[in-house]
Amino acid sequence: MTNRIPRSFALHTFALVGLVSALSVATQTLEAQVSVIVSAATPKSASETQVAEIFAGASTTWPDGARVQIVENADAVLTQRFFAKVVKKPTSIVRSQWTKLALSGQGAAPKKGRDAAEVKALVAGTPGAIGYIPSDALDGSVKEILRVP
Amino acid sequence: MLTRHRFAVVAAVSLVMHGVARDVVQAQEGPQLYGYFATRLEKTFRKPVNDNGQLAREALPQEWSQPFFNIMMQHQFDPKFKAFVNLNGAGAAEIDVRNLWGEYSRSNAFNVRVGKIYRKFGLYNEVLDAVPTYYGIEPPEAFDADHLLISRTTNLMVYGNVRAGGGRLNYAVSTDNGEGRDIEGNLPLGYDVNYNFGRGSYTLGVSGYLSNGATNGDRPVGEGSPRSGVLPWMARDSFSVINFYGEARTGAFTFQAEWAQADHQAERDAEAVLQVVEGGALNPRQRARFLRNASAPATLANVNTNGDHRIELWYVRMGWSRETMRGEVGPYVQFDSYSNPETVGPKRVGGDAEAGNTDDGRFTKFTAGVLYRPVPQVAVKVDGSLFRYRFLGQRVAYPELRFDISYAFGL
Repeated sequence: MTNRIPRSFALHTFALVGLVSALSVATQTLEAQVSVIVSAATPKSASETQVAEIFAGASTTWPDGARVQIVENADAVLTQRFFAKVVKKPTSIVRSQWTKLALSGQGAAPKKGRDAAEVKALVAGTPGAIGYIPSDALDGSVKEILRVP
Repeated sequence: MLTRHRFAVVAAVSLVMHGVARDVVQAQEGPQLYGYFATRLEKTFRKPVNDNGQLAREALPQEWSQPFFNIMMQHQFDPKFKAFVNLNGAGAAEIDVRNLWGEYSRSNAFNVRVGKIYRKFGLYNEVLDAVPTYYGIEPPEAFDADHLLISRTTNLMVYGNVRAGGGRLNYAVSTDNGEGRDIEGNLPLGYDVNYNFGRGSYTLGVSGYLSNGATNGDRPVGEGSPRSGVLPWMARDSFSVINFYGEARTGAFTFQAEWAQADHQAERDAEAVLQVVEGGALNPRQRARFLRNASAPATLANVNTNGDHRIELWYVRMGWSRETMRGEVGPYVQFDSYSNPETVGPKRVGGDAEAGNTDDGRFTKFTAGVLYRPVPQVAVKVDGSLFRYRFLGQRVAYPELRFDISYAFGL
């Protein structure tokens, strides 16, 4: 008697691996890209490093000296992904740093938008504001300065 | 000190009023109001005491600080001007203005802050009142109110940053009209330079302070611990402080370390020293330090007026943040080492209940604890410390437990 693997088992395994891989790719595609935004009326721009420094609390002003006003997105999943990819820190550490800056007067207390529409409204209406939204929610009221895949 | 604060308040109000005037023309958002309420419980066990030359132990009564608050108000008059107020207190009758300043920002590289300001010095001085945000209940010994290296506040600070390499070079220069209570004309210089890199994750820096001439303490003997770096029994003290520090915040880990040294070229006030000797319960080493002949009676002629001394300290702190389904959990460990040969024990004469009660002015403190945030606004901390030092010729240790809970609002 030989210990050969049944052909049907091998086919099923192959199919399963293929399905999981396809789902994985599809899930990544479905995950919305994140856009870092500022007011459409402002000439402000920033590199990915500068954006990371701003959200990490290492920089509280724009290059022209204007104060940074962070607008947090209440979408916890989006926020977690954004911080992990750009700031490379957990949400709790980033929030704690913002609080530290506010309590010492070094930075403004962050504002919070309940959804992309509110984040856009806050960013568009607040001098020096910076926020992040799903890229598919972009419109003319704000300007994208960085896209995070 | 009074003159200094008057100057600070007038300067800050002037800057704020200038901002208000601009605000009328260029209306912006209203002020931001936020802060936190907190309360703390502390208990010391088996603290070594001198019982007629024999080592004995006593448990100190637990200390409960009544619920206190820190309320901050910040207003951005326009993109260049802002004002900040930080009030601390346990009630309407005990409100302390910790900070009151106005600020003008020309650019990233040039900002001017005027008023009563926590100076930029090391990792903690500027964030002393942000207790809910850092690992640990007590600040490092370098910033402990019982033995300050320098006054926490200053009146004029210029600061900024420039991009350099892959990071930012931050600088701050500060000055005021000195630490002392009755010496005029000093123009001390404080500075802080650090390099922040790795997307804000790493910081290496140095802070310093030069008294720029002789000064004295801000409180006389008998009125408690000084709020500056000069001990109350000094007639004159010309001193400098240097402090190296580093911080790494990578992923969920935070690591901090500082080393500082303060050199005091000081002359003791003989009459003040007699007050210390009479009311200070000095140990033999301290008595030998303060008097020319330690076995002779304490008289003006017997006081040794040379008060030169060096303070050295360092600490390391580590914390780790773990987000769970029930909130954030953050265990931490800390180690402090402090050495000050000049201080004495009793706080009422301006001494330090920790270093001042040791044989040689040195102690170490190991702390372990945990921070728990069920929601971002609430921070619950529990930690314990073990103090170790020499006392009555023996190596001794005693533990201290602390509990702190705070609630932040408007953030």
